[in-house]
Amino acid sequence: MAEGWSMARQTEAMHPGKQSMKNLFAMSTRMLWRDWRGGELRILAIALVIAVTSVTSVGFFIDRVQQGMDQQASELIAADLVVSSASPVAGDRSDRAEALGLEIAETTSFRSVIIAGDQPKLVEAKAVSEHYPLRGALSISDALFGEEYQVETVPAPGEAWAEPKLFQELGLSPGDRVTLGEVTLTLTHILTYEPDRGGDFFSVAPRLLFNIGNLDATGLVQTGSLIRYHLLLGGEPARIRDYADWLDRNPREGERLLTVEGGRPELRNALERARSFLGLAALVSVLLAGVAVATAARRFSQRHLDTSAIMRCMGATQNSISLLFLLEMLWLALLASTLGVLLGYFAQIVIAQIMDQLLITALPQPSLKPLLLGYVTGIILLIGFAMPPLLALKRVPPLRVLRKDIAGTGASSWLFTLGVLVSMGVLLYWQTQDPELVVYMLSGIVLTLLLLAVCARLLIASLNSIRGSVGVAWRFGLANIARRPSGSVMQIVAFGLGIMVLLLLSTVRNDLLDDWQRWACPAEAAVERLDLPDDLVFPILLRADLPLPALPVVGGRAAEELLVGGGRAVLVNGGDGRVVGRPDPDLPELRSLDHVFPPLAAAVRGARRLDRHRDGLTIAHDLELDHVVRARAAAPLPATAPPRAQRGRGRRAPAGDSGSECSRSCRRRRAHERNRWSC
Amino acid sequence: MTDNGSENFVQAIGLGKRVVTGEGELVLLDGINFSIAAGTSVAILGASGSGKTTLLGLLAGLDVPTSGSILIDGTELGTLDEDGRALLRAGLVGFVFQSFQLLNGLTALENVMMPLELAGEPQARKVASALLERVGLGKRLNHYPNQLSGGEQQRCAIARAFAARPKLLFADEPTGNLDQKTGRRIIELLFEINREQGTTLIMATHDEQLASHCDRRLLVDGGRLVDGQAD
Repeated sequence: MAEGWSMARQTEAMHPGKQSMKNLFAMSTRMLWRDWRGGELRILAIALVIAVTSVTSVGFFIDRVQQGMDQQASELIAADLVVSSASPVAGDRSDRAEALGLEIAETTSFRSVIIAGDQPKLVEAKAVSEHYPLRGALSISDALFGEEYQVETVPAPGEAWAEPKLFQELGLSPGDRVTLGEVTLTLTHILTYEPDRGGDFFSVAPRLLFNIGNLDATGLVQTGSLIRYHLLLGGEPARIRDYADWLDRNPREGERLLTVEGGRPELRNALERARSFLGLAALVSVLLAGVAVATAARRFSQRHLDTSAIMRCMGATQNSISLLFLLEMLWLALLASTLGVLLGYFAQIVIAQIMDQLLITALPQPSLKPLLLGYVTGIILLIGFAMPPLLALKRVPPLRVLRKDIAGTGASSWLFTLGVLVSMGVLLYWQTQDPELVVYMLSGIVLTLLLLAVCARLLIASLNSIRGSVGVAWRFGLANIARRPSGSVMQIVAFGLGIMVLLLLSTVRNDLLDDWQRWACPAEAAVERLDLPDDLVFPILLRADLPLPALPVVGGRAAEELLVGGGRAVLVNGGDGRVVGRPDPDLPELRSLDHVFPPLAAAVRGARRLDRHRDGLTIAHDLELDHVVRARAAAPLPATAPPRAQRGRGRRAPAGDSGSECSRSCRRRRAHERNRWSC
Repeated sequence: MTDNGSENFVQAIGLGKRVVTGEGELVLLDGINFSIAAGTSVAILGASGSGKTTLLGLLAGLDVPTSGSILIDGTELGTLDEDGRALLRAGLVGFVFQSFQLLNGLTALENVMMPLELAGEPQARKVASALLERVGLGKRLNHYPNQLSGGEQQRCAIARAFAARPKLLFADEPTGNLDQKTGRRIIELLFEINREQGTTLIMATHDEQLASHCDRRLLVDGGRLVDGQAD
C-alpha cells in the first residue's frame, strides 16, 4: 500500500461540514482552471475581453484628450482664474487675492485703430502688466519669420509687440513706430504666441501687446469705450477655490469669472459629445457581449448540473455552491478584464495615432481611471448577465445523482431580466451621466425583450400544430423546443436581442459619425442645411453662449476672412475702406442677405453705423438688441452649436460636400496651428 | 458494537414516501422500520421499481420522506433543512452510483480530490493519488472518465467514495453497468476497502449473488419491507 494511502488512513478528521472561505477561494481557482481546460469558459471569456477592450480603448483615449485639455486649459486663460469686467476690476478683488497669497496680473483689451506712417489699421490692443501671463508663456521673434522663443517678460513701457499680420499688412519692421491713440509705441518684437488668445475666435484684427503703464497715456480709456478688463489670478487650487467662493459671495454687476473648466467650451462640448457617442457605441458592444455572456453562462450552468448535484451529495451547502461559482466567475472576470484592459490600452495607442493626423499633436499618457472602468464593466457584465443562471445551480437537488430527470428550477426569467437591466443601467449611467438617456435605452431594451418573448411564446405554441405533419427529425427537434418553453423563450430572446444590437450598431454607426462631424464642423453643416449657392455662402453662427449681442456672420466671397465681433455683428464682404454711416438698405450684400436670412438682414439694417474697411471687412456696429434676439431665435443652427469654421481660409464647401471638405479644412487648419486645440 | 449508538447507527422508523401524480397518489414506500448497526454491510434487495433506490435516497438525506423518520448516528434527518442534511453528509457519507457519476471535465485524480477539497484536506492530491493507486488506477491519474473503461470508472468512483473516510457508504447498484467479471472484481474491491475502513455499507441491488456478500439483507417489494424488518 502506498505511503499516501497510509497517510490517508491517518487523516481521521476531515473537518466535516466545514467549507471555509479560504477553502472555497482555493477550490474556486482550481475549478476555474479545470473549466477553462475543459473549454467551458472560452466564450464567456472572449465576450468579456471584447466588451472590456471596447470600453477601455475609448476610455483611455478620451482620458488622454481630457488630460491634454486640462493641462492646456490654464494656459488658455493664462491663469488659474480670471475676473473679467467691462469696467475696471474693483480694488477689493486684488486686495483679497493678495491676502490669499495669489499671484496677480492685469490685462486690458480693446479694439482700436493704430496709425503707422499714414496708414490706419484696426488692431486688437492689449495692455498687460508685469507677470503676465501667469500660466503659459509668450513667444516672440526678433524678425518676421525669425526663430521664435519664449519670454517671461512683457513689453517695456513705450514698446509694443505685434502679430506678424500687422507687420505684413503695413510693411513694418521691428523698430518701427506706431501711434495708438495719443501714445507712440516702438514695435520691438513679433508676437508669435499668446496663451489666452482664444484661438482667434474673437479676433477681428491683429494683436498689439503693450505695457499697461502706457494705457492711460493713449487717451482711449474713456466713458463708453468698449474695453474689457481682466484680473488674472494664479495659485494653489485650494486658495483659488477659496477666492472663487469669496467672489460668489460678493458679486458685482458686469463681472464674469473665467475658469479653467470653462476654457474653450466649444472644444469641451465637442469632446464631450464625442465621448458620449464613442462610449455609447462601446456600450452597444458591451450589450452584445452581454448576450453572448448570458448564452454561454446558460450553457455553462446546464453542463454543471451534475457537478452541483454531486457536490451537494458530498456535503456542499447551497451557499457554498453559489459562492464557489461566484468566485470562479470573479476570477474569470478579473483575468478577462486584465486582458481586455491591456488590449484596450494598445487599441487606444492605435486610435491616438490615427486621430493624431486629424486633431492633436502630443497627447499625455492616460491615467489609471479607465482601468477601473474596464474592471467594473467586466465584473458588472458577468454579474448581470451570467449570475442568474449560475445562481440557479445551487437549487439543483442532490437527488439528481440518483434520478437524472430531476434538474431543479432553472434561472428565473425575471431575475435574468432584472440582472440585464440593472447592469446595463449602471454601465449606461456611468458612461453617459444622462438619466434620461438611460431610461430611453432601458425602455428600448425592455420593449424589445417583451416583444421577442411574446413572439417566441406564440411561435412555440404554434409548433404543436405542425408536429404531426413533419418528419421524425423535425418532430424530435420541435418537441425538444416545446418541452422546455421557458428555456426556449430565453434562448430566442437572447439571440433576438443580440441580432437587434448588431443591426442597431450597423444602423447608428453612420448616424453617430455624421452627428459627431456635424458638431465638430458646424459651419459646413450649416452650409449644407441652408443649401446655399457656391458663391453665396452664409454659414450663420449664432451661439447662445456668446455675449449678447454678438452676431457673427460669415458671407460671400470674403468668407475666408473671419468675422466675429464681441458685442456687434460683422458682415464680411468686399469693402473700399469708407465709413458709410448708417447702413444703406440697398447694399448688394444686404439684398443677398435678405434672400438668405431676413432676420439677420433686418438686424444689420438696424445698426447705427456701418464701417467698410479697405481690408475687406464691413462691420455693423451697435445693433439693436431685439433685432439680434430675433435673428438668433430664427437661426438655423442649434443654439449650442460650437462654432468652428470661422478661421478657415479657403472657400467653403458647396452644399452636399461638407464631410470631406471638413476633414480637409480641419487638416489644413491644424497644419497652421500645431500644438493648439482647434477643430 | 455494544453501545446503543453503534447498534442503531442508521434507523428508519415508520418510513413512507408518497408522490402525487396526474393519476392520483402513488405510494413508493410505506411503513419501513429497521435499524442498522455501525460497521455492518446491508443489502437492500428488490426488483426494479420496488422502491429500493427511493429508500436509499431517503436514508442518505437526498430526499425527504412524507412520513416517518430517519436517524443517522443519532441525528434525526427530519430536524435538518437541506443545508443541514448536506453538512451531515460531509465527511460522514460516501456514495457509489450505478452510473459512476464522475465529472467528465475532471481527471480521475481531480474527481477523487473533490470530496477532499470540499472537506478542506490540505493534502488532497497526495491522498487521492494514494487511493487511486489502491484501486489499481495509479497509472491513470490524469485520464478523463471518457478515457477509462466502465470498470475503471467504477474503481475511480469507489476511490472517491472512500476519499473522505466516510462512516457510512451508500452504493446504488454498483455493478449495474458492468459485465459480470468486472462487477465481481469491483465488489471484491468495494468490500475489501469497506473492511479496511470499517465503514457501514448500505447497498441497493437486485443481484442476489451480490447481496450474499453483505452481513444482512432487507427485501423490498411494492414499497414495503417484506424481509429483514426487525433486526
